[in-house]
Amino acid sequence: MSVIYIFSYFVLFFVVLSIIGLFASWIDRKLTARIQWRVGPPWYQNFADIIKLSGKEVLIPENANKFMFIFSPILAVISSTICGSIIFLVLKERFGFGGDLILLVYLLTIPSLSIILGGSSSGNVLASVGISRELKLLLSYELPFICGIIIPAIKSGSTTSLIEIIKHQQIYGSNIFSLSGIIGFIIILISSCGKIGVVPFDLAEAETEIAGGSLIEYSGILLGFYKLAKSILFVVVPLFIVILYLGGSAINSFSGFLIFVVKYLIVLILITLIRNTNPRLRIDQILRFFWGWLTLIGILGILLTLSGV
Amino acid sequence: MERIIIGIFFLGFISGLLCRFIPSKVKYLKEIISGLVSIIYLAFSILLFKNTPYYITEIFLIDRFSIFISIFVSLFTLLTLIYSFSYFENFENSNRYYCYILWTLASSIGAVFSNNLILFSVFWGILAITLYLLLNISGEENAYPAKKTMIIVGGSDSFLIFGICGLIYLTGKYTITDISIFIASGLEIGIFFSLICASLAKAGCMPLHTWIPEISEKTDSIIMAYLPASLDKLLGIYLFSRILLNLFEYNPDFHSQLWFLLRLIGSLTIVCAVLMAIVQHNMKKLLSYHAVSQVGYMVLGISCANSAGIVGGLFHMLNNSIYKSLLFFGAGNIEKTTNEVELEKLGGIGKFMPITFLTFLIGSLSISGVPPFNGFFSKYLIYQGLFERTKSGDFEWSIWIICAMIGSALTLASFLKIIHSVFLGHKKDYLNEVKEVSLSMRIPVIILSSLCIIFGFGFIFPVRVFENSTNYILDKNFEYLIPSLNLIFVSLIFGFIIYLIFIGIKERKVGTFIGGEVKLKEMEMSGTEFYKTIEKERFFSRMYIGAKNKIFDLYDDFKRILFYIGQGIRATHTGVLPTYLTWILFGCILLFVIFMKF
Repeated sequence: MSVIYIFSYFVLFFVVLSIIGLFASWIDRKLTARIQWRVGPPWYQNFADIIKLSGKEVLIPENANKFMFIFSPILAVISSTICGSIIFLVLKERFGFGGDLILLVYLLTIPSLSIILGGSSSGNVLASVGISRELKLLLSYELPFICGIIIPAIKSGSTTSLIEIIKHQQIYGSNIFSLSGIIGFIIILISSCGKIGVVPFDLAEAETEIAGGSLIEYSGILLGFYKLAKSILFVVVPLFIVILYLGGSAINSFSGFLIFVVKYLIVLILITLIRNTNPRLRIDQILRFFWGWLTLIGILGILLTLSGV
Repeated sequence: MERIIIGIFFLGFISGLLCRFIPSKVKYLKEIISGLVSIIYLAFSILLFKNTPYYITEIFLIDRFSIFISIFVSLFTLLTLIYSFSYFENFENSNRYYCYILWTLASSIGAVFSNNLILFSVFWGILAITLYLLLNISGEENAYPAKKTMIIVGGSDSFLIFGICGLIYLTGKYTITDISIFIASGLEIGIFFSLICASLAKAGCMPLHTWIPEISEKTDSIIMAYLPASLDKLLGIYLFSRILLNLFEYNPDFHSQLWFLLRLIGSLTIVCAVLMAIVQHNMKKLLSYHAVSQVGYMVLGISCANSAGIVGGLFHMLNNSIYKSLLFFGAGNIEKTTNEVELEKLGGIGKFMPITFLTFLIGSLSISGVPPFNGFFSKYLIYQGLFERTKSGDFEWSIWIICAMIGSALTLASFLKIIHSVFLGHKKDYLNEVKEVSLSMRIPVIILSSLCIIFGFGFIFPVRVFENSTNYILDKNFEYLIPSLNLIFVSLIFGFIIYLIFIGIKERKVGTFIGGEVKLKEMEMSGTEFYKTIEKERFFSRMYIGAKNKIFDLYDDFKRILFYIGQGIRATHTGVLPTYLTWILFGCILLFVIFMKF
């Protein structure tokens, strides 16, 4: 593959993922509004937000590390785009290799990493509180998240290839149709709420407490980049869960594509429901919850998987 | 050929001795001599790599693996010498320093190249002595930690000698390549563990790790970067892999428990050391706990006993020495310019030291296993090995995977803490005068950070070398990573282009906004406060209190037991002469009675 070919592929994915992501965020916002008995924004609201932000002035704090401050939001966007591209390549082109599961797990930490670096480089006090929370959140959800990816990997014959996991599910039925599968699905669903950073785990931004936390100093298109990255994560993370637990069917035929979209929407709606029915947790509660109960249940899930239940 | 190799060894020892007797006032001579010697060693190793893939006699063991290790030993020595050119400028003990460095170089290469067990143990012993001497250079404050190091490392060397004697007793052979023992009885297990003990103490694996955090506070960063961070890891894991892959045969029925124990040690090392690291306030101590924690990955990988695990573990050994010395050099840069290593007292110097900052960031991302840097690929192979093993249906493998992965997340968290509290975050007022370090301290960090990137994108080359040298061939699957790497590469270029566009845009400088209030000093939050919540949790708080009281420190435990036993004897030492005389009289009577019986 030549560089120009990959480059055009990347740009194409970036555009596609941004559009889908902004739509997904709209679904999330609209559903939230309906649950709260409001009308909600029109479908183009998120696009309008991004366009408006790109027209605004960029402010940089005096004490900020300029390089890190500007590069972090860009890093957030490109890393989430890479995750999305790999997942799309797996789904559409059937391009996969042993170990892409591990690569994705590691790549999915980079958006959080870039939020932390960006917040840290702004030199703001409230941003420091925000990144402190984000770091502990990262530590907390990572443990059950790992349990949640080990379960389907073992179920599909100890593989680390997403393609193999999909193929296995097409032959033997989705991973979720077993006791350990249900446990794994619940665990990974909750921990991915932390990964995306939505309520009840949005304490790193927490507008009402620390005024946006890590993002407090960001404005203009740089803030827009962070919003875009979060929207892309709204696509990537649910897709990842669909592949691991819900059969992750191929999207070559029209009916297959439709079923796939429905599965994706189910996961997205579940995340939105969790976010709308729970209050924001404190960091020590989150730590105890993730490292305590959720991990214990996760380990139980692995034991059940190994015994074939 | 043999003569050339022996000549090379003597070159190191004699030029070291020469440096020892050059007075400190004579400038640049020692630097030039030691630099030249290390360049000769490097050139020799590279030439061997190119021309002589195998040369195995009764005395020398020169294969791809040992040559590859020797290349990096020489490279790290060269970089350390370049670094010390500015770091140890006008240093009164510089003649001792250069002498010991050259001796360390010569004896490490000797240990790596020797096939004779006795020769190997001699070189290994010299390494323990030079380590002790180098630690003592940093001043009298370092005497106690240096003594502790000597007792742990030197004590484990005696285990090595015991193990070697056992090997010779069992097989009657002296050459490493001829021996291949099948573990069947208690004696063989004893030999196995004494050899493992020596290698793990050198590499700094738990529970023999305590010397590394102990020496880190007072020792100069450059010595930390040279010995515990890079050379000791290379040598310790080199011995470890020779023991497991060459000296002993794999016996699935009996061996499996031993390998299980090693894996347990490995994963405990990863998690416990990194949990200790995240609460440290001293930058060098924090880095030293990571030097311990990373050994866990190597031990875990190699004791996986499949191709991916072994190659991954060895690759991780190499990667670890690259980024760990990079990080210690970075810490040295900060210490040199600010005279401070306490994280609370630093902040916001990334702006003034851009090269140190960027290279430190690369090192931190590599050690945390963020793709596309080198640390990711070795961890990736180790995970592949572990996942492959889950096929057996044993529960242990899932636990090892969880330990390794959470260890990597915790590593990332603790390095972000350093980055926040040193380079980013709030700028301290007294740090306004800080400037970037001199060229000779910048060159090593730039070279090492480029190695982190080169071994990331070009991971195939070192992996191939380890594959060929250990005869554990990976399946082709991992090569499919390359298209994803290309994607990452292209996207990073894309990101930089966007960044360059942004640099051009006119931006407005503003003050930070804290709800409209004026920022006070009390509001500032250093990275050291990040993990206080974790420290306060019931389980962790007990663990940290235990660690503070050195309950997990084998050296201190042993000392406590000794003192406890000695309590009674001590009570008799009153210092009164007549009491002693009475004791002597009693003793004589006792002896008399005993001898009367015979």
